[in-house]
Amino acid sequence: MNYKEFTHKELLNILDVVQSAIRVKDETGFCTILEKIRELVCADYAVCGLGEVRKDRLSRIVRIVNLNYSDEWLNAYAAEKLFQKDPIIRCQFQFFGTHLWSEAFKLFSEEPYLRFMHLASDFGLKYGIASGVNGPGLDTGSIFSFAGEKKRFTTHHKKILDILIPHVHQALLRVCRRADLLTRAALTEREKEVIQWMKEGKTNWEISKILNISERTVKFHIRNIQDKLDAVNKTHAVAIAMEQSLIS
Amino acid sequence: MEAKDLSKSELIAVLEVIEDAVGCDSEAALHGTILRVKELVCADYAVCGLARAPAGDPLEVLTVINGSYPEEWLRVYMDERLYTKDPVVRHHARFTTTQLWTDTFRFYRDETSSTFLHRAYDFGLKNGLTSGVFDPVAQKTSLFSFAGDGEEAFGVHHKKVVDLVIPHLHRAIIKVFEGATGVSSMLM
Repeated sequence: MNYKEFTHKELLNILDVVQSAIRVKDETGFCTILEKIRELVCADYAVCGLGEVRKDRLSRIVRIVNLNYSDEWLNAYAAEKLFQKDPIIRCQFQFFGTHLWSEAFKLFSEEPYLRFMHLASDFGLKYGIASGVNGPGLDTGSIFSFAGEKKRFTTHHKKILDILIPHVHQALLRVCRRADLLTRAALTEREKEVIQWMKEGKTNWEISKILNISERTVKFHIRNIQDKLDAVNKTHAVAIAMEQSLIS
Repeated sequence: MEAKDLSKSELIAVLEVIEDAVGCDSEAALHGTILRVKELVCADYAVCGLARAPAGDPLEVLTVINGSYPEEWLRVYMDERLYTKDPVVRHHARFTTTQLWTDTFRFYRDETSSTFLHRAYDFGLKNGLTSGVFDPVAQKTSLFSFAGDGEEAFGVHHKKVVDLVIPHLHRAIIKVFEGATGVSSMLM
């Protein structure tokens, strides 16, 4: 890597991100790193995620860490599985490395990508730069996306991401793994049994009979499970538990 | 002393060492990387090692990668288990921070330490700085030593450089030793 073209200040900021990435322990700390990179590449918005890769394509989003992309956009993105139509994702998970969005748009300019681009631009996502790393193994990959409403991304910003992304990719893997371990550790054996039966569609009364406990105790466990998984209802809790492989 | 006090060329050298360390996948690669750090801190000798360090039990050396320490000294050091007497290693077991040897030696004036230091001195190991990381999950500790045979001691400037690169060198030695992706460090 040629570092000579960077200013002293940029090198200090790059080093700061690298050092933060090796020490980061949780999602809050990780967002601080994303914010620093966002500033370094002069972007307005930043988001990143981990996904499963199959045949050069993103098959499933495993985790998203959002700095300041609009929630409305991300909700629509998840609900409508827009990653299947997103040219940035298509480009990133096929080639990895760092790309300006404009480069991805040229490569994937037909439908359904074209319609996706119009939709994204309605949310102020017109210009951007993305990077990511494949690994560990061939079936996992990351994407880090930095967007802006103005056309200001250059090869200089690409070089900054080329330096930083391998470090923050490792940090993202570590933070996600740690979060998963903490969540798993947080659920007691009894709570895991309860949520397993919830997944099977059993009612509170049925679970109470199966586990030979009172229905009131079942409700108590369910409330704890929802709190620990940050779920809004029982269905949401089961979905999160399945997503995080807490239940089979 | 802060990173901002380093010159642009030093910052570049530090980032290059970190890049090297991240890419280290063999003993030969790590050997090259510690020699690079040796140049960066103007040392004459470099060595690193990884040890199992269970609480309350003696160190068990897992691997030593010699950059440029005198081979004869390392042979004696390992054969006689001198790491049990080495003030720098003893200090590292209590405080895992970057040590300037001149500072450490002030705290170890017992006969065992004095004898050890005289022997090291005979091999040209007069001044130095040592750092490493203790991974409490894996109960492993790394040590990276850079020594000089001149009379001039290493200073805070060199210490800062070593502070910056050590976490990455630690990951590298774990990765090289385990031949994997540093699983034991994942929770660091």
